[in-house]
Amino acid sequence: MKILVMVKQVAFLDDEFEMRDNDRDVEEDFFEKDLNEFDHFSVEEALLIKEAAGDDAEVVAVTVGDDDADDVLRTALAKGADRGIRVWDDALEDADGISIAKVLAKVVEREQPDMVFTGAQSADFGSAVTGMALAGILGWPHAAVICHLEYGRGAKTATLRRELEGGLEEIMTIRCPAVLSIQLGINEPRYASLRGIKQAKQKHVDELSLDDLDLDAGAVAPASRVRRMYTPEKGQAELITGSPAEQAARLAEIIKELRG
Amino acid sequence: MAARDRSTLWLDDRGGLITRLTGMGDPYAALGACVWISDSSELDDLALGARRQRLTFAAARYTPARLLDRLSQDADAAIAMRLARNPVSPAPVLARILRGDPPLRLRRHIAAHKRADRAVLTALAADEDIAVRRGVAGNAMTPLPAMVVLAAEGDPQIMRNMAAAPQTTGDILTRLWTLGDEWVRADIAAHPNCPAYILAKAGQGADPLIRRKCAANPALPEAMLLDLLADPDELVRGAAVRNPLVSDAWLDDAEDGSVRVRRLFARRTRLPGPLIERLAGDADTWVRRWIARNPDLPFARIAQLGHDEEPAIRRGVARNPCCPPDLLIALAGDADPWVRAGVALRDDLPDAALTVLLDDTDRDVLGALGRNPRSPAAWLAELARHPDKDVRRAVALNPVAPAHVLALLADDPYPLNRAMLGRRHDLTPDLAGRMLTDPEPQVRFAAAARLARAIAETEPGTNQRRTPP
Repeated sequence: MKILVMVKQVAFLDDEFEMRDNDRDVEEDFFEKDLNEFDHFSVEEALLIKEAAGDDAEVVAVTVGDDDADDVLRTALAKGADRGIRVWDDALEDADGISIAKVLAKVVEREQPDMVFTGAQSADFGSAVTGMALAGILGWPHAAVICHLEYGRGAKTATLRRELEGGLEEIMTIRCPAVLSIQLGINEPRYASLRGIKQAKQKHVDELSLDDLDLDAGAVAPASRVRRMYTPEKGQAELITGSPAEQAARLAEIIKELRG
Repeated sequence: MAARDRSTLWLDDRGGLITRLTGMGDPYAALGACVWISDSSELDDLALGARRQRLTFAAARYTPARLLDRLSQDADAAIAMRLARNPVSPAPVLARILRGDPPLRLRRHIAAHKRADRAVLTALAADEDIAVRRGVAGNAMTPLPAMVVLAAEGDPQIMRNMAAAPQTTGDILTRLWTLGDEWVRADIAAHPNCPAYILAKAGQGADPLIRRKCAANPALPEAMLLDLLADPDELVRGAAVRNPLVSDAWLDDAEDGSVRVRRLFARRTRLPGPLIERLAGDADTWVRRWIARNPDLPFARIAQLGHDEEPAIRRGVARNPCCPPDLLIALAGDADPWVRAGVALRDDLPDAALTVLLDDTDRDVLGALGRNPRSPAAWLAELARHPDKDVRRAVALNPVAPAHVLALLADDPYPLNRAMLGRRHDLTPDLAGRMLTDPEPQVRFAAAARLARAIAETEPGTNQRRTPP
């Protein structure tokens, strides 16, 4: 049995930051980078299934990113994933969720897993699109925002619960292989042991280019692009104090100011 | 003592440590060592090499003042902003930033900074921006001449800030009393420098907000405090009850229909006997919960509350420093784990209670035992391997945990537990040396600081007398 877990290196902003000269992203010096929080849960879910299944089950962590993204693969490997795959090409610099899904679909075709997990969304951009786009490209069954999963070795179906609006939950049976996006809280993610962290350095990470996946820059060209990123101007609040007459006078003054 | 491995001999040697750290190329470890080694340009350069690190360390409370000063010489505006917001930035750093003609946002931060010096604040008191001047008005370091000038402005926010600033004199407060609104007057009523005649007006005024602030004044005359203890408004009485000037003797006959006020009575550590008795029988569980911890509670009442149906009250008894041993032994077998954990936290735990608790499986109880200096070393070693990370962390916080137990925690998978271990003053250099390659930056920082401290303590001269920030 093989489970592919798609992981992402996400950026956390400092509270003070500067924009890049092109105004399309934040200057890199103001980021902390780490494994996407949702992916801790999807990695854990895969590891729990692997541990229940036995020794020949394999968990493969996959990411799209430059050298820096190796860190998140090593985190997944330190927790217990068996190997990692990192795909990168400079043509992916401005990739959107659909472009990434196209790349991941090629990895899935190459690896032929029994199940694919993604996080429900990424903590930085929060589009929640990559997992479902991946399922769409593959033509696989899919379910999003999974908060409980029952799936074992060789099973043709999985039973799952997913969160809906208004506090509702839905129980589904899904045909396998499938793409499932995992919600926070489905399990309690483990921390990598120091031994695991050391062993992760020895584990194998495949580095693939677009060529290796029979893709080219045109095939992964983004269908959307960020035009501008900026901090919107904040509204102002003013505490009006004083006697009722003074408060009324100040309120009238503000209304006049706003109406011009 | 076991012979040290040759590979760790560098732990004893300052030059060896610096070589080791610069070889590692880790800015966090370098910064940790910089806390104790103040004259190594290699370490300073490593800590502040990349812009990302300079930004991070400019905002960090643990960065030594010397390096904050160096960072303030950087022309980077983002670094200057972080320094101005960093509460440990020393006065010369703030002064240097101000000399660079900083933008408005930065001046606002400096104006409110607790370490800004008198010259900086005097300059900012004449700033063209009102928000900057308001910050100066509320700063406890602002010199009086600047305060006098600011008081003359008549700005409501400046007056409010000044009324709350500790150095504001009676003369200025008198002026503000006539100019300010009720919020300003309320802060004046609470001010220790408030003139007596204003206090008298405030205490007898119609506004309950001003009377409440007056009741909290730490320089209130006795007669006024007694009046305010009988105020018709429960919030005013509550503020008076919390005033540290209230004498136990005044409370002998205290009765209050307000449960809010009785709860505040119960939270006082010193209470007259008759009032303790009455509060121990109060219908309100929060009142009994607080009084259950009072060391002056008579034994009969301790025993009574030790059997209260409310677990939080039984826990209060378990935490009472005068709880008798036989009751502690009984509470060690309580049905509620929170009560048993209260017993397990005590460092005067009777042997019989400890024996009962060592069989417990609840994580709160085990966590309390993990922190308890009475817990046997063998048991601590068990807890250091417990599956629950909070239980293991308790061992890292145990002040008498032996070195061989602490060594188990150096491999703890939970990073915060290793960080707690790294902060211990009794961390051995060997263990600190091991932790220097930890994946967590804060652990490496602490380990390097520990090693540098160990070396500084053996060197005669300036470093030996230094205390870390």
